[in-house]
Amino acid sequence: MMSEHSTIDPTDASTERPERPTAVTVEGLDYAHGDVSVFADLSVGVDAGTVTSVVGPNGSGKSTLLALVAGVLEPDAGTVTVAGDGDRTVGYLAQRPEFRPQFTVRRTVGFYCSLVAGGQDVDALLDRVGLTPVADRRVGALSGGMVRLLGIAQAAVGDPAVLVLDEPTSGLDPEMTRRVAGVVTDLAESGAAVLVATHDLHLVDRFVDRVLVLDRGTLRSTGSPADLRDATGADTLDGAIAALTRAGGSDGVAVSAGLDGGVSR
Amino acid sequence: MTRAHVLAVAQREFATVFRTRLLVVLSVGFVGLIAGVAWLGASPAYLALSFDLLTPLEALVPVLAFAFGYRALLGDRERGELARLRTYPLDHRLYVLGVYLGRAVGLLGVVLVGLSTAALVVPLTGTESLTAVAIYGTVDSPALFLRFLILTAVFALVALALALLVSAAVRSTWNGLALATGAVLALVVGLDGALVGTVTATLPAPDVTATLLALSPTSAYRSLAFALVFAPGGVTVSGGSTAVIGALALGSWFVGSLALTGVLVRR
Amino acid sequence: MRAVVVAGAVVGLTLLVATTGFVANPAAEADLSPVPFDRTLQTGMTGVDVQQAEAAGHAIPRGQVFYSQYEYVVGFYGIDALLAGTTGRYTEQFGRPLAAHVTDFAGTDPTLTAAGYLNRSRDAPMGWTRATDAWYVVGTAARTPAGPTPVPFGDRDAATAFAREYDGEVLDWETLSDRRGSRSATGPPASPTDERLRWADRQVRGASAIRERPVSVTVGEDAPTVAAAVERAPPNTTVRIPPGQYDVNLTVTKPITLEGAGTATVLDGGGNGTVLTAATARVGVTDLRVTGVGDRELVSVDENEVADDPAWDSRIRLVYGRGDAGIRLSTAPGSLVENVTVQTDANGVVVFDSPGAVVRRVRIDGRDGSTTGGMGVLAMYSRMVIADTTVDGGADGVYTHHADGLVVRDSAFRGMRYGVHEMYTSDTLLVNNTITGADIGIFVMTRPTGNAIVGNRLRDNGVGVETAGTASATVDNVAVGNQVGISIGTSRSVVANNTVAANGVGLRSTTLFPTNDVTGNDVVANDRPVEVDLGRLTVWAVDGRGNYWGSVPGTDRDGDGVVDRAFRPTDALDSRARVRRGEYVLAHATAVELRRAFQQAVPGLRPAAVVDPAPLAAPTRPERLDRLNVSTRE
Repeated sequence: MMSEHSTIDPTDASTERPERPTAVTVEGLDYAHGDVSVFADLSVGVDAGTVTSVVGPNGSGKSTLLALVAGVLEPDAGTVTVAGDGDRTVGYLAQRPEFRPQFTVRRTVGFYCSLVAGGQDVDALLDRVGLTPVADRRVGALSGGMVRLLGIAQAAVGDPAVLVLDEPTSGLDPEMTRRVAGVVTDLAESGAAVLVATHDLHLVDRFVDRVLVLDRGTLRSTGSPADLRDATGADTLDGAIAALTRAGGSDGVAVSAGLDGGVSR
Repeated sequence: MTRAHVLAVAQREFATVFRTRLLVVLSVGFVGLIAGVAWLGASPAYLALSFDLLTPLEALVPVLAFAFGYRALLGDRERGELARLRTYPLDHRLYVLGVYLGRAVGLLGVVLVGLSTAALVVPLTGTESLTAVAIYGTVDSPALFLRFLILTAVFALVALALALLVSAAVRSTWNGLALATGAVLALVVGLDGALVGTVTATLPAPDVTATLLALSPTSAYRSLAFALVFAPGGVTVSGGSTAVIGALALGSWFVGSLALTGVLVRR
Repeated sequence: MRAVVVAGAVVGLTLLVATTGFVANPAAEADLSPVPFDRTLQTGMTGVDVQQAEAAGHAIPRGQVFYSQYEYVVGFYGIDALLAGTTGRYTEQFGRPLAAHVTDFAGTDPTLTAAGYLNRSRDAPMGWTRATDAWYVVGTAARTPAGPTPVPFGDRDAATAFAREYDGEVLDWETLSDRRGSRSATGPPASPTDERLRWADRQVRGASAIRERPVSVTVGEDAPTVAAAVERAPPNTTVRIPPGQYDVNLTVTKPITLEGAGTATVLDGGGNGTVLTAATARVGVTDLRVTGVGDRELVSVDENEVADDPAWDSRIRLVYGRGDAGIRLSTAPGSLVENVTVQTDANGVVVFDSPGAVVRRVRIDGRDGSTTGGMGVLAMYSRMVIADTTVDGGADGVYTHHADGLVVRDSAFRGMRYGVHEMYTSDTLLVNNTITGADIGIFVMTRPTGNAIVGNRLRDNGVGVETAGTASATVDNVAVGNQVGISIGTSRSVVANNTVAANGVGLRSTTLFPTNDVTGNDVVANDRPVEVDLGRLTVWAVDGRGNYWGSVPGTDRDGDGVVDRAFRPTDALDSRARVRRGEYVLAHATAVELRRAFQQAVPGLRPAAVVDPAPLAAPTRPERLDRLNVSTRE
């Protein structure tokens, strides 16, 4: 799967995109933590069947955006529209997911499955994220990576059209990171819109279809990793992002305007 | 679907209770204490046993109920469970209901086991009687203890509702612990103490004490016990029955707590 | 199925079942129909009153009460007792009466004898009727041996008819209760000690005239024998008996005084029967010694003789009343036995049908080293005075049978079965006596009333004082070194201001009617302060003053002399807390307080125990404890 994904020509991304329906539409989003405004009039879209990554420095509002998309937070103004007609439209993995340590993996996932219609197959779901071998282990005895996989399984319960994953790989070893990434791309392959927040730009470069560059609550740029490199002339995605977020207010708008219209304004 | 959701949540809470070592230890302790009080008193009558247990239960039931309840919604909040569950098609009020039911079943189970163990003292320790003299049942009967048991169960349910309210209102473990401790103290002594203060400070005392009892769930419980257990048992309770006020009070505390919990859990 | 559903169903079902507790009416559940009277726990009129009436075939109105918090049905002899039993101390102790029944005289054809005793037809069985629905005829001449009585009827017409015939008035229960309210004593009466002492003084003064009679005959000078001297002496004179040994088996039938010269004058019965019998009023026997008494302390009786005697107590009269004695006063009212020594294996002085007799400064040596033998002084049907008398050995120092009003004072009883043994005897006064080494120092039996046991000293007995009956007073006694200090078998009585120290058990409660006022007693340094046999929870304090138990847990913060914490002398923790620091601290634990919160509630349903809600901070009679050298710290 990973190899297959890596063969996609990034330059084709923009030409392919219109064929994919938009799964998430954010329009005119305002949100403030108390008196501190996080977003003012933010608009963005996420396509189905893709892995979209939100990147940006700490405090840029990545987690907040994800929580708003997931419906965990309510916007002060604006709308978050999520496509999909299922029982559960958004699956959400919080940054450091925790589960009741007393229960086994199977019981934990089983509980979430019982909350959605249609009798989700717990074992199939565990198999999909590779947790079958530890299905009967107590959550309290799982490694951090396993818990993350459990969280992803939980997010996938009910086959939601949109999966919102906040830092699914942070703190994981490379092997587990690859495994998580594989599961994520697999979910996108099966048609879901996957919105990921991450600091791991290497991972973004390899697995992500589209990047949303967020800085201090403002969308600096969107596009495939290749688009971003091209637009900034940087050799690496790292450099491209750095350039985009360093540029500051008006430049950012200009750059993103020069790219594809992920920004609807 | 609604029923399935509530049951799923309740089942998880119920299972959590019995997988939490602290609660198991506390439950065993509760049963032990209640049984201990009963066996030490060695009352040969249910009425006397109810009297013996009233005061210990006034203190122990809130403690147990808060142990069962104060972490329930707070733990979910801290683990991100409350946020996570917003992505599921589950009404938050149903969630609160499920949590309440699951914990309530556990709590009532412990209370029932405790009181049943205590009740065994009556048939098992029966003091010797004079055989030449006619013996009759007196008014003492298991029925009185059953009434007492029901009232205690209701008191436990109200205390659990209050515990969930605290659990939904706080944001951190330490706050939760502090508020829960405060709430237990308020239930056990604080509200009654305030009542006593109010009643004795107002001279001449207006005869509203019976109504004021509603302000304290513990006093409401006690007044119900006097009205429905002890008075029918032949104990003179002056001033007549306060059963209606007590029942209304407990009902209001129960409904109010759960309703407010349903609102707070969403925040 | 989910565990929570199963558990929930179990819990829910249990609670559902428990709600039946609200459906059932506990009061209605109990079977409150009357039981045969002999199956009730009986109280009320005294044993002797009941026995007399029943022997004579007279009916006594009776009641029985079912209390909400007492498993036994309590039977009351007499309507006054029933009224007392439905109020006051009884209801405090046993809860509210669920049902009260009275004997129903309707249809039993009741009549009154000339003396006012109730007779009824023996053909119709006496039934019971609800006391609160019954009709009571008052104001007739109807009475029991205890006094006038209302006559209860279940049927109003029958009551009216009876009232018309005997000139009475019909009342319902409520009116009767109101009217009798002030009269039916629910608490113990004031102790009549002074009045009885004055009566005793009058008897002694009256009898002392017997010693002042002029000497008419001197034995050996004016007559060869005592019998001849008595024969010659005119009434109201003295027969002087100089020192010497005289063989005597004599009955005196005129009011004279036999006066010896002290212990040197010896009347010897030769080991055969009674030595000296007085069979008329105001005989005096003074200043001499009596020996050679027969050895039959009891007389075996012919059953036909018992059956022929209509008296209720014929057996006692025949068996006890005819034993051998040193001196026998038989129908000799106002007689005096003074300054006499009797050596006897049977009885010392028997006083039979001789009211006003005085036995004073008499010394009786009974059978040694044994608790068998006769009685030092045996009083039957005689309100008499026993004073300054010493009895050693034998069965009982003083045995009374139906000798109401008797006074025993300033006497000593040592090494015997019972020091003073009261049977069927009410209204006595036992004051300032010293009793040591007896199985039981003072033993009151047979449900009498109005006995006063005041200021006696009881040392090294099995039981110091053992009481029974009602409306009695046991006050100001000192019980030291007995196995049991004072054993309380009374109801509605006072046990107050006694000093009970260094006994195996200080106070023992054996009553089934724990309605006594137990207050002001100093109970210290006993192995166990209190033991409770039978009975239920008993509260020992009156008007906020309990007893002194030594240093008990708790403090007297407001300085009113009462410790602000209830003391439970029957409780192992409390009782040890008086001497051991660990238990003292533990006794104040919240856990203990929680458990004790309602422990005085519903006493009738509690196991046997004693609570003193107001233990005293200081002894009532500190000087006695000082004198006894008893450490109050134990």
